[in-house]
Amino acid sequence: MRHTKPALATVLVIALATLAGCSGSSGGGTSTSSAGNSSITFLTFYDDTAVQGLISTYCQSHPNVTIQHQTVPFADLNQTIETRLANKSTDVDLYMADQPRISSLVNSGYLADVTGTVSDTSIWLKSALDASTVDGKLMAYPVNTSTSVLYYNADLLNAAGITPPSANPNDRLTWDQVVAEAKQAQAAGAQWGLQFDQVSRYYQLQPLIESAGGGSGLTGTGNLTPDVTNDGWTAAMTFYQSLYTDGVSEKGITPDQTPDSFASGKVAFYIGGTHLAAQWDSDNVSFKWGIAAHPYVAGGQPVTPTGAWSIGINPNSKNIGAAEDFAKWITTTAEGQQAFLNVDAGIPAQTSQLDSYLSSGIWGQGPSGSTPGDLVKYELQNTAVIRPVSIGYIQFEAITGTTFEDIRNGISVTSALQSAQQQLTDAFAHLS
Amino acid sequence: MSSLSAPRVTRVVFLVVGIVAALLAVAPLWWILVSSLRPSAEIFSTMAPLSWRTFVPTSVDFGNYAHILSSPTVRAIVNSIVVTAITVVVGLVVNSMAAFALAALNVRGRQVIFAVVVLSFMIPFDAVAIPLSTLTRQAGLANSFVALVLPGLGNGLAIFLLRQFFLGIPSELVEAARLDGARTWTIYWQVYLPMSGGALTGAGLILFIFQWQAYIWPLLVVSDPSKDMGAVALGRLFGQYGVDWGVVFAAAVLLTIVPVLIILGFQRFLVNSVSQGAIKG
Repeated sequence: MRHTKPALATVLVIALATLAGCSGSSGGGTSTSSAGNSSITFLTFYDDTAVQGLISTYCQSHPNVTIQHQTVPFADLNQTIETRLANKSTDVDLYMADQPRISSLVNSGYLADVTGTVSDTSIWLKSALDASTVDGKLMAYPVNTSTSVLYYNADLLNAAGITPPSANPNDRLTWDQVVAEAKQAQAAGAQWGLQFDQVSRYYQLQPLIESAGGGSGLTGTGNLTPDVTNDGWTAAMTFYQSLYTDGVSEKGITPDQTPDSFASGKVAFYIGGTHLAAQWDSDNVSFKWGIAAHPYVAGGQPVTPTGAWSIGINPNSKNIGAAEDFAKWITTTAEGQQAFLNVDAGIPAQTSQLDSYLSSGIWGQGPSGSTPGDLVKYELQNTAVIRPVSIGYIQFEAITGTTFEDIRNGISVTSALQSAQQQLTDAFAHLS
Repeated sequence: MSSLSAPRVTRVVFLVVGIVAALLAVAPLWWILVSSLRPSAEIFSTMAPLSWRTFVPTSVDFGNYAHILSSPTVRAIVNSIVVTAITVVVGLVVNSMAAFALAALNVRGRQVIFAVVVLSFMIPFDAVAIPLSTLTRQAGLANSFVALVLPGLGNGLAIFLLRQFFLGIPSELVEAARLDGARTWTIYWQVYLPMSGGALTGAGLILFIFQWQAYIWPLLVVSDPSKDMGAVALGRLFGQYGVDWGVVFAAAVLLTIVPVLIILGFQRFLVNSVSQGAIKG
């Protein structure tokens, strides 16, 4: 009996701590605030367990916030944002914003202006910052970024007597050199010479087009004037089509299937994202492979793709302050960025985190100054070109994607590009 | 040595064509089953060029199934079974009562009501899902099994099939029951339903298929992963950085087994009910 009071007090303390304490939960959709406590809802496409770990870390230093996590399949995120933020809904307080879609989200009124909430924006990679900025205003907090490299199957190259390319960006191969060696590897037994990761997607083909002098494909005020029939686009698309007509690349394969195609040992060269290196490293694929610099068009500038995710704030949120604090913790602090790496292993947007990220594991292997990590850092800082910032980007991506597929399937390059130009003009007529 | 007669030759040709067509129809399903027993990289190394190894595994690996069975996908499949079972049971009661009212009761304006029912199943559910989800959220039903079940209950096609079947039940039976003092509920419960096993099975399968393959609706009204439905859990396997096809195929096989078993078990009733519904009335 004499222990009753202490025990009761303990229960009360735990109960109060639970009520007042920072915690994470799944689902939700409410956003309430009482007695100094805030409740915010975070919409993502990530694994719930991983995000709960992120929230737990945040809660250790922010005990007065409850964060509810809503997660949807990756392919459904953009549609879900449209439905859950429509009609000034407060269901979601902050969410993962696809960087090339930020302009469109701003135009729909789904992103709060967060300019001024971060005093020093130079903490982020310029490309990530630019991709999160619309009309000079910071509209979302960049959290990570990406680039592509040239992977090669060393066993297939050795069998063909080809010296594997270097990770030094100064020794970058041209597209024509890559294709010539790809054909040589095929002659020596490789089933396919070259494969794109995100085949027929703008992200993956933009570097080829830009390096050929074609520009992004959008010009003018607000990037709402299509320009996809110029000489650079035509040359790049002619080259792209030749990969399939010459049998260098596999027809019919989809972006979801290409990584496994390379991992099965059938492909000599592969243009793909850096995330694949960790995957193939841990999968212990049955052949030797390596990383080299992304190819460029002879006579043109080296260009690499970039961009990933930012965290956006719902302008109608009832707890904008709490939502901003959580987003800023993830995107501007070392602790937050490191915790977020357990959720998404993409390249951090914070420049201060790059060195540790790019010197670990497979990225730090090789001669100092020429490691794959050094290459990635160089590309992010020197050759990365973001996708065009435009409220018409969603339509642009869809129409160019269809056009790339048509060209891959053998339709005349000129007529395919003229058709795309017309479709884009029609689509943008409703936007400008 | 006697030669084959012409009709027999024709029969053999049809048989061979039939077998080839059946094999072609089954091949993709068989390939999915075989691929679920292989690591992802092996799936694509055996896919091209097409050979016997594409369809016959040289070794069997249950790793993909082990992965799925230890993941939240299992809970999602159980959720799908529970939600679908509730939908079928409650939905059959609701739809058969509606069909009975439209077929056997002299309700004023029932032809108009029936026309609305017929129209309702002509409109794709996806077209009304977004505004309906807003109403559901405003009603405080988001993230609940009630929200998952509700839109699957009233099904225009099920009402249509049951009504057509009920119209074929002889009116003498109803009159005899009324002479014996039976009320409307008794006639529905003790006369119509016991005679409608086939039609109810068909309607039940329609409700089952609608709910089992539901994707957009669960996505709109549920954000709690613990209440995921099977189809959404399958969608989650397609990640930002790629797809483990072996795991996807294993999940697809598990999600397919339940409807396949049910449809195979009840297909005779389904065909009967559809044909009866089509000719009666």
